[in-house]
Amino acid sequence: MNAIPSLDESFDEARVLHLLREHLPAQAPIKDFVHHNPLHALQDLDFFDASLLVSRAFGIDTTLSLADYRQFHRQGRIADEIIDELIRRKSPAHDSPEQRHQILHLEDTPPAPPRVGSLRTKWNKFLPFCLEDRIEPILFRWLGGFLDQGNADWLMPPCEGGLLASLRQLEQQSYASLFRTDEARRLFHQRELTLRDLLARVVGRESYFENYLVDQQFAHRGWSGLVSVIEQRPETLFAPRKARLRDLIHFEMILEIDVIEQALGPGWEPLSHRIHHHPMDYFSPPDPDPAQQALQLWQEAFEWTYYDQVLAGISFLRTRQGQQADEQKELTFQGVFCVDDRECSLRRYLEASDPACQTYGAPGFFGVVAYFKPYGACHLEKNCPAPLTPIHLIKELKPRPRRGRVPMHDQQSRSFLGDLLAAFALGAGSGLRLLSDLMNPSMRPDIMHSFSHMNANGELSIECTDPETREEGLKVGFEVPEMVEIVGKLLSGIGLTKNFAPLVYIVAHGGTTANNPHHAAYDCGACSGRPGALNARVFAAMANRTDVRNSLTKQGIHIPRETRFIAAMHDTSQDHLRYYDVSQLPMTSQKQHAENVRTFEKALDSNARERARRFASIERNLEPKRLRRAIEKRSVSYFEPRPELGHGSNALCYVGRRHSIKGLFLDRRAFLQSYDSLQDPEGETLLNLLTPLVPVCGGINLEYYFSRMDNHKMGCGTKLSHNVTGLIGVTNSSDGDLRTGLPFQMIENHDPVRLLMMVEQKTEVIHKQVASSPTLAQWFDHGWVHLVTIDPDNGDLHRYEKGKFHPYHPIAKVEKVEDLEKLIREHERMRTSQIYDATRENMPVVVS
Amino acid sequence: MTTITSLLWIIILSPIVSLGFISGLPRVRETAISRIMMAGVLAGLVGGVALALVLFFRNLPSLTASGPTLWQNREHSFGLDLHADPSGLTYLILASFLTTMVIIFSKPYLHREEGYKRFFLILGCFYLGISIVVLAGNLEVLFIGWEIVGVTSFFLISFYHERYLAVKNAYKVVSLYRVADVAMLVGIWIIHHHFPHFHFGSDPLTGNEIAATAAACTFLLAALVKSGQFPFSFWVPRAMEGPTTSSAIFYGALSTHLGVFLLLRTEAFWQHNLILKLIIGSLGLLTYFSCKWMSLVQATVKAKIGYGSVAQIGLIFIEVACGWVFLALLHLVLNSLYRCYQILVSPSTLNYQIQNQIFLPKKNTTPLASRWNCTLYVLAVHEFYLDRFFAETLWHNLKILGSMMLKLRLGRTGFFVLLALAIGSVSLCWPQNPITRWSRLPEAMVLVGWIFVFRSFSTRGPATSAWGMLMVNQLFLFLALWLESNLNHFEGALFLTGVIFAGVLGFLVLTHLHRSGAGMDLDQFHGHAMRHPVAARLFVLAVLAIAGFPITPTFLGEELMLSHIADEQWILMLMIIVNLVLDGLVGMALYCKIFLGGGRITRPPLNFRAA
Repeated sequence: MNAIPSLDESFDEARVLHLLREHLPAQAPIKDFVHHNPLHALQDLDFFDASLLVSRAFGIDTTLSLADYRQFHRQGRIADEIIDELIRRKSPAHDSPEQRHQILHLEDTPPAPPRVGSLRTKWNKFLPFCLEDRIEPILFRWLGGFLDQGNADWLMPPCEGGLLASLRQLEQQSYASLFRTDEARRLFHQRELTLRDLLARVVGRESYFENYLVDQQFAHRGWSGLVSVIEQRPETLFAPRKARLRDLIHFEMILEIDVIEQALGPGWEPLSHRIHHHPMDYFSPPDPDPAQQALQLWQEAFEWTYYDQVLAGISFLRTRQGQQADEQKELTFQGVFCVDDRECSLRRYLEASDPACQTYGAPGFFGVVAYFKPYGACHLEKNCPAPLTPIHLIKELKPRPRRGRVPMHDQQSRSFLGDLLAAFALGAGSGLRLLSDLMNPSMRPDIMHSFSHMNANGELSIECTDPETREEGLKVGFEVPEMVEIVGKLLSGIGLTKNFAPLVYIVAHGGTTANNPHHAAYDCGACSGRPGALNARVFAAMANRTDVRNSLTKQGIHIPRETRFIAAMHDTSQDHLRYYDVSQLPMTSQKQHAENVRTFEKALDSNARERARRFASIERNLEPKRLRRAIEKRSVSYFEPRPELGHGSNALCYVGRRHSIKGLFLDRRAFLQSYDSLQDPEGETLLNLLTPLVPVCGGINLEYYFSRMDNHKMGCGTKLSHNVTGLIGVTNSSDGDLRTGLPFQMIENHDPVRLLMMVEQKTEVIHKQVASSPTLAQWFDHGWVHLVTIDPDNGDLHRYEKGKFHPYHPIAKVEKVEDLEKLIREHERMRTSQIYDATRENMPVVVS
Repeated sequence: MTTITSLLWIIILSPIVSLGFISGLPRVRETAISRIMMAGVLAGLVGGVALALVLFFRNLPSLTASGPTLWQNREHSFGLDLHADPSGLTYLILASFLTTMVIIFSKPYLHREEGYKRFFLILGCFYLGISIVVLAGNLEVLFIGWEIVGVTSFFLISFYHERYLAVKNAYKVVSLYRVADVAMLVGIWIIHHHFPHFHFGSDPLTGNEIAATAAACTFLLAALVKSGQFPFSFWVPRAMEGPTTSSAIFYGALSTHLGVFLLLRTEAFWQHNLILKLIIGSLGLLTYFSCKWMSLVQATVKAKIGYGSVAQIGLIFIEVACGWVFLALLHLVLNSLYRCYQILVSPSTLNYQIQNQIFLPKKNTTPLASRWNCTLYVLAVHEFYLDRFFAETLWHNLKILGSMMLKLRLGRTGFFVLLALAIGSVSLCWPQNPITRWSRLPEAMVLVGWIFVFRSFSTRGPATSAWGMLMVNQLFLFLALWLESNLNHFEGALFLTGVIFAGVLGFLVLTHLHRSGAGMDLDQFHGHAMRHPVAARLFVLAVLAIAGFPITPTFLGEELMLSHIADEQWILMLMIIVNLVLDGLVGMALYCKIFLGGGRITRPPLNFRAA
């Protein structure tokens, strides 16, 4: 080993590891896909500063190109008035038309080369080959083998100690070596070797270490990110692995030494002795340049042109409604839906087909924070928002129907004869199956079916009978006081504390998709990417209990005896609704329910038609029955990469009373949370609502935002070439890095705009509450999410900017349409997936 | 009978007609594109079934349709003949069925994909290639189809041409294919010399035992490469870079099984040679075990299926060697269906296995059993060092050789062009001059060619100079062949037109790009195809012409002139082979570096190349 070179700047291993963990993608194994803000590490910076920083550091596009924005401008999707208004906002003294002229004619400049990566690539000058090409394929193979959850039929011999220990054991046992050179073998077996020692050998001077490690790990950010996530949350794997980022780096350094030693011979000089390249601070704030400022202005103008239409619509509705009082009418039913943007349209159609119903929105876990253990399962599923840690367990108590098998996915036989027979037997089967899957797609055991998550007829352990026993460290079921708290909190949160209808539906949602590794991204984000039927069922059962209701009456929530809660789940891909435990209802309720089912079905018909406008494979003018059938088939088609469009095009989040925005057509782009400011004059409930809502909706929105802005680096590119790896992720290639983020098929109709939170509450109340929660304030103050308040009394709008509220007067005139269905039916479809063409499919805001 | 034989022509022509129609359609006409292609393939399916019924009911061993003769001289003729026999028809029906299925699958799957039309064009060409191979009436026609299949493979692997690994792996595969193609050319050369009356379905050959063995070896090499058999298996998982549907039909099914078909077609050369049969069988067995193990340890699902498929093909090789043709065909069909389906639904495996795991605790597999087990595991993860051997040992050493050639101070390349012209014109005007009469002149010429082709192989400078060196090599190669063919003007002209056409076209494209400010150095990937799609297509054409792709006059000229080389001149032949392999590789490398591997994504230093 060379002597350690001069210590001009000390290397702090823990600090660098922390830095890496912060910036590496935080995507869990793909079965637990949960949307989050990809720039979570930089959330304490202003949105555009953070964007610029990652753009400079990693070479990621965080805005569209000037040409794209100009195209939007030509299409009228960025309005001149908005540009002027934004210029005025920033610098009131300036002449805005002139500045507008300037930014309109600015040309795209080629982006500066990214900072990260600049040091390690220098190796390639001194080696007769590319360092990454030699190291990465074998590194990924070992990592894949180590983390593999069961894709390979012969898993790596397990070892308690983690990657290095497993590999050391293999190296010791095997006659074939993992390495090419004796030097690497020698170093590999020296357990006491630290990263510093290895870095000293490869890099030399300590001041370069941090740069080098960042370069090295970001060259394969997918794998490194996954290792770091598993290290922090080992429970996410069914087959546990002791993954450590440190081990990964250690092994990679040894591989580097191996390859370099072989190429250059013993006694080679470390990298920093060979170059005249100064270490850089990769994460120092870059200098803003005019092009960047122009891009920022374009982006804001793009966002505000849309927001302005929405806000104009809200103002318009307010003037139309005037002081219309909440009239008391006989309600047929109430429905509580998930805030999810995909439920927007179903609620709209329900209200249209039965004017005497009311709909509410609440996060789709309905306050039930629990793990779920299906009957006979050996592992738990988390059914609540990802950041929460449940202490309760809901068990399925009755056996469920046996899952079918698909022998084509099963383990290969290891015997010669078994292998041969399999090829013959499965060959014939595959041919027939191929034919039938293409001609008549139908449900198969390998299709992710939302309703199969929980057995509809199975009993659940909802009530905790024995608070002392713990199963897997969790309390089985909830105790009555806990139930009261959950039910009371949800109902008062959405303002449903009086005027209960005879039936209240608690509607969860899930998705059914075939051939889709990203299925978790289509399910309920508030249930950690799982269908939410379980939570709805548990909630309904709690709310139907007399003891719970009695306690609630004491809190001022009086639920009439006749009112029954029914759990249901909406399959957002198939447009199916299934209701749970209906047979347990009294006869009168069952009768009422049967009538409501007709209303639901009618609404689902219309909902399916509205969704079909974006599906090329479906003729939108089909009669409802055939259309529903076509949609259902689409969801079970292996060949359909877009069974539904997920949260694509999401842009808004409304927190307030439903009737204030009734009649506003938002094209399934809004998360809708119910909230009644009149029942919450101090805003404490509001704070409880916003605390989970903003990170969940903001996370979804930013995940889509960045995946759309740079689908190659922040997203995972097109789905079509994805190759499932180790049951933990997807790669494009068997020698390739794991891909994180959203696939192209999910984001192509997405307008990359930040989320606009619209809260119906007094400015002062919100101000106080936001200021009281630093985490919330961070989202709004730094512009990761926009905030606009709607005054519940007079409808005045205020927008929030850096801790201050400013009055907002919409510029746009919103159009009023008579026949909304016709408008939807006739709206144009995208022809190409170019952003300015694709997102034309999103409809303008209108009122009906 | 003529109506029946004309069916053969319909099968070949219908995809061509479909391709013609499609190429005129804009990309957004997705439905039309897929339907027209499907019509072309369905015609093949119906035709194939009809022919099979005819053969069966009339109890015929095979059907032959003579086509137009492209070239005829005293020694041999080259006609576009077709031939249908049970094994060919089985393959044809299988290919038509799977292609139809994949077209139906791909229509919604590739919806709104940037390369939608490109995909269907390539798929159509691939199907055409397969039908030509299986219905070919002679080896030249078979070779045409074989080349089409190889080139379409390249285009589908590099379908997402902005990705580094896709392009790198496409190049890796196509360079192996190039070796196979040239091997096949040599095989055809041997057959012309020694078995001029050979035709498919003819009786086992008698005569020159050594020549038959040599021919069999060349075809075996081609078959091993194409079917991913030992020691070439490593390319199969790396070829799964395109859309899942294309991986399914190419590497799960039709392309990899083509090697088996080639062996069946050329069985006359090895059928009576026990040693050869043993070699085929043992390579099959070796493949079976190595790929089986590699398949067992793969963490990526497509690689697992790919190796699994190749392992089964190893077994099919054994069946072929044993002469169990029926069993081999059955196995081939079923394995193709199985693997094709497996790859098509491979993304489902995640959900399926995870759901299973919730209920079945996976017992941690056998703890470290024996040292041999560990050794096998390590070897299987390292893919038995096959990829490393080819990429690092062979390839690397070729590069080093090239760098040595680059160090030679030869002065300006133009001087050599003049030299070539001088030798050429002297030979033309004064055939009996002392230089021309020097019997080792062709070898010398090829040697000069070698220097240049190696130089262009290793240069990291501008693409235009590499292209220039490639042209110089072609000129000297031409001189060698021309001198060898006793100055046959017609053949020489044929070859030279191809080369000059390609050379000028390539130069024009490159200089045009250079003028528009595009980067041209070969030390990185530029990805100009995105901005200059027309230039990219023209350049491909030039490269194919240089490489002697069978649609160009170069191919015919090359074919004919090669036939003048007598078998005592095997040294010359060997030198020419190396030259041919390399010039194809360099051409493709230029194309990849300049046009593929897309600029922004793979732009250094942090180039996301692994993604």
